[in-house]
Amino acid sequence: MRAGGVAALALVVFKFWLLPIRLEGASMEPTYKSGSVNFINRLAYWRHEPQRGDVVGVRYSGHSIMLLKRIVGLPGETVEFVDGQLWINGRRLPEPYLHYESRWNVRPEHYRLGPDEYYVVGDNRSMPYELHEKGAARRERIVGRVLL
Amino acid sequence: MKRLSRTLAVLTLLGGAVWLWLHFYPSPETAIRRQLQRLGATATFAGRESLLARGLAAQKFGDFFAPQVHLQLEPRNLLDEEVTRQDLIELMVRIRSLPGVQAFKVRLLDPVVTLAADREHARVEVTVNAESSGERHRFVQELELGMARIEGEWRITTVATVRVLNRAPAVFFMASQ
Repeated sequence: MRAGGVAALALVVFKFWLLPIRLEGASMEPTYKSGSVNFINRLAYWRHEPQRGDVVGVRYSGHSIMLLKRIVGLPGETVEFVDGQLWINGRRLPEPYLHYESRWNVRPEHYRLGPDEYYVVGDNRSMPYELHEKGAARRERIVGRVLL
Repeated sequence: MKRLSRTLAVLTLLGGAVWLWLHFYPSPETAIRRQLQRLGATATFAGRESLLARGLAAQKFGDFFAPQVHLQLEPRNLLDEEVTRQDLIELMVRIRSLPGVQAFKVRLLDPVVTLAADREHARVEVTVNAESSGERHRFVQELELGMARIEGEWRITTVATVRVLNRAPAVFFMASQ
């Protein structure tokens, strides 16, 4: 009876609240290493909207596979990378969580995020721009914030 | 006690009957999910295959599609927009014959099925996870499939790439000269 209760509780917790994930790939290094295990807190945005700097899970058609990325741009903002530095609405934004040097010089042309779009990108911007998965995620695609 | 065992037996029989009914007459959503699972299994192969096995598997793969399929894939120049079932069979034979590909595992994950009002057509959002040589070469892509019930089976009529992250056209420049 007690084991059943624990199993039911674990099912509810790990299905509806904390989604276990195993990271794969180098795009969030060194903050999150490939092969490490973490959780996505699905209730993180229950009371408020995602914030800049949050590391979030972005879903595909379901939760089996997700992208783990950091939010750097909020709805309505413009995003560009100049000499590896992030510029938001034409002003440089300090990013203390970055440890690798980046040389990205990219200005998304007349790029302004839509009313429900968040710009997400990984912390490893030493990767070539073309190989790094990044872009605007619609709010409904953001599953939750990483726990640890 | 006798009554209890009789009730249990009747309930078991009823449960079995319901299970059998759902197994042989599944709802359209269940039928589509099963079909996609079978498609993933058919596209999967391990090790070297004989020419005959390769041809049969490709033929089976083609059966999951309508005679004419509309593709909206990115990059745009990857395949023609209108292809026939035969084109897809030939494509599958070519993929299975690639010298560098020893094994290929395909899974179609998290299908979200939206049935049309006529219940003969459906739109399915699904995540394709394809791995070759273990997890070293992984390809993940969300697709939107149009499906229709043709000759009693749910078959794919359209395939379109879905972008999880939208990217605006980028301008690359040289800075801090």
